Amino acid sequence: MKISTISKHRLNNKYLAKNSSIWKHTKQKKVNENSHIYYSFSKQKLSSNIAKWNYKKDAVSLLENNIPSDIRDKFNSLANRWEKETCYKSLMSDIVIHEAYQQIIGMGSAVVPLLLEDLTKSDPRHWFWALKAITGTSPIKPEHKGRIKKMAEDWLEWGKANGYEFRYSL
Amino acid sequence: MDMNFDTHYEAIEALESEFPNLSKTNYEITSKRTRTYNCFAYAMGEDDIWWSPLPGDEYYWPEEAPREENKEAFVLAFQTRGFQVCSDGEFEAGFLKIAIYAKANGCPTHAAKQSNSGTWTSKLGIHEDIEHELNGISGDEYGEVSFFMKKTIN
Repeated sequence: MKISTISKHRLNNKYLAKNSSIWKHTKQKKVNENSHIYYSFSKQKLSSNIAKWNYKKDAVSLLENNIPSDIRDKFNSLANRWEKETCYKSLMSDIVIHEAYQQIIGMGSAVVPLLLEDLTKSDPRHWFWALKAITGTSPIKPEHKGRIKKMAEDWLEWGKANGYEFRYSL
Repeated sequence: MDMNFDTHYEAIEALESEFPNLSKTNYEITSKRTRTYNCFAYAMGEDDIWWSPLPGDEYYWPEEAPREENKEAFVLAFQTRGFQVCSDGEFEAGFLKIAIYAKANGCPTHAAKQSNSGTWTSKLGIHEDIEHELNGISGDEYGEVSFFMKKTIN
């Protein structure tokens, strides 16, 4: 199965790298190994496994290949410049008012999958203000205020509920 | 702290570029980088949360203090943890002191915490914690020490 063929099935299936350690926890059968890269198993099974094993650090957006490269490149460039120029600041107002951060907000809903994808990292960057500005909502639970990983989890839950799903690869 | 030579060297280079006074004073990196907490939380002894008066429901800020960026709001916030404004940063046995930096507009930009040995420690943005002298991080980024607060410790 070629990657392009896999893409056609991605809305119904999740794919894991052949050498993913997640496989040892599943009883799913491989469906095709011509590409010797991907196997498939059910979305429901993957979701439960993800929650169970908490492999968030390996998560990448299911929509990865559907995001135009120019959008991704612009986001990465702005995000890197923003963090480089604000990395010693502690006041969030100084951090989120930065011109590059504001440009990211200005990219609108196209950048939401990238922001959510970034929140899956083990030490996530502070995209909460941008996500709130773009989506008009804030799913952060009151008891999670300021607790960055919990805040990220709240946003990822929101992402799942709003059609932003993730596949896991190693 | 587990940090390899290259990472440690890069951290020193970045710090001294941002804070030129560090190269003229004593300081030491005491942690890895993390985006989990900031200097204000660190000064309060909380290394699992990010304090910010930014309006909205994202970041932690004591309910007793207004979400404003001025000296009065920060004093009220730190008072919720038992600190009171004091006259200086001289080491006093039985007290924990913090130093709050500000720029010319008076808005706090950074907080440092005094250690048991009388030296000062800080969390620098999303960068490392360091042990330093008070003027080691004075300058363009944080301004100067604006005021001190202290609380009794057992």
